[in-house]
Amino acid sequence: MEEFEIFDDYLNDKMTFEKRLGFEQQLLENPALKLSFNDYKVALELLRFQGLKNEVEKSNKEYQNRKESKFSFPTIKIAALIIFGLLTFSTFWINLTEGVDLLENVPIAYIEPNQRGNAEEKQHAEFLYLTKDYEGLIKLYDSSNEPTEKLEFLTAMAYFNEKDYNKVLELIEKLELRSKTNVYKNEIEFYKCQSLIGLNKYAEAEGMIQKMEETNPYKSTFDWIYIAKIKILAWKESFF
Amino acid sequence: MTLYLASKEKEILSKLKSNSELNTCLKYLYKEYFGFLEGMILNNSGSKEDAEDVIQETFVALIQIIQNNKFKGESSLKSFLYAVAKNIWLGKLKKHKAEYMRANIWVESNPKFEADIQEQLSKNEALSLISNVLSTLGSVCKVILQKFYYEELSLKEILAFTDFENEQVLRNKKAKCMKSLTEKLNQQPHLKESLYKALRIF
Repeated sequence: MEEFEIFDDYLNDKMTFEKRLGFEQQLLENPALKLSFNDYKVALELLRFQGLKNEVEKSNKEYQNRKESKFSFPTIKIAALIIFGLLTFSTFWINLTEGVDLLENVPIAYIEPNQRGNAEEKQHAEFLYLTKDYEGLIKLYDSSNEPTEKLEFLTAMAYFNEKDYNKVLELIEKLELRSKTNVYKNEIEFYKCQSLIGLNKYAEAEGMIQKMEETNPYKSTFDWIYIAKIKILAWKESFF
Repeated sequence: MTLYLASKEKEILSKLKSNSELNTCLKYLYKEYFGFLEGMILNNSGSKEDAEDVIQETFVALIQIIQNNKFKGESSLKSFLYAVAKNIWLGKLKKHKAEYMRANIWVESNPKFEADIQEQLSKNEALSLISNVLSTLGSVCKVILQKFYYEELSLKEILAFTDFENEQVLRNKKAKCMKSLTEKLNQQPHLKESLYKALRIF
């Protein structure tokens, strides 16, 4: 039996009582054995200490790694929160978007110019339009046997102000037939689109905007929010 | 909650004492006390790295004290850990006198267990100083000795981790490794002597 195994048996209490006494006697009588036994005990202490140290070091590494991964968690949380916030905001925005907003927040409105139309009719029709006598203007149009393009357009504008969008579209249709000389082309496109919005036909209105030529100054007044709102309303229209 | 903590603490202490599920116990200690002990070091002119080192040494000492039956539960585990960490940190600060003077303001000695802690820390310091001899051992020896004396595996179990033919060959190798280790310790007589003193081996 190796000397170390005897030491192990003694330290682990694996000796019989007699053997134990004998070993202790040997330790007292043999200084070399005593020294060897003490060195063995020191070596054991060292091995156990190092083993425990390694185990704690391992646990420390695991803990630090877990902590690091926890640190990245708030970033994910914040990102999720932002996405959730944006989704909530978008949902609210989509729900709150109504066609009325588009008509109320028109970025541009027609202003009657001085240089267009027949002089006599222009004076009367223009006066009625500028004084916002839309009913009078409509009566003038109804009583006119051969209304001019100018009267037809101003009447369409009168109907628009009266929110009778079907009539606006009816008159715009007539105006579109005068395509050769149509000086109100830009306005016709714009107000046709607005009337379609008034009639909750958002998909058609969106199509109108897309078809508008870039040279039409009315087109450039539609900002991205306005376009986004029409798109949302068109999307809602397809569902309900 | 306090009740749960108290019973959990009791369970951990009992496992540490019997040296079972050490990894689980360490996980618990890190989870429950790392932040608290780190705060103490950071508030007393220590860095995060200092805190990590001190806490590791604290847990090593705590486990040894518990296994040597020196922790009788007269105080909570938290207070005891605080006392161990405080002693370790002060020991380190002594090397930087100015900071030690400042840190001395916040310490409050607890004579109840201060002596036991100091004794264990002295042992660990002496062991640390001589621990470099282990790194001079061959890797096979390190594995065999660690598994046999620290993990307390049998030769039969260790055989699976090695290329040795049978237990007898492994037994002989283990004896050689142990002999080599004691010889290496004898090559550092001064460190060995202080270790003998710290371990009270005469």
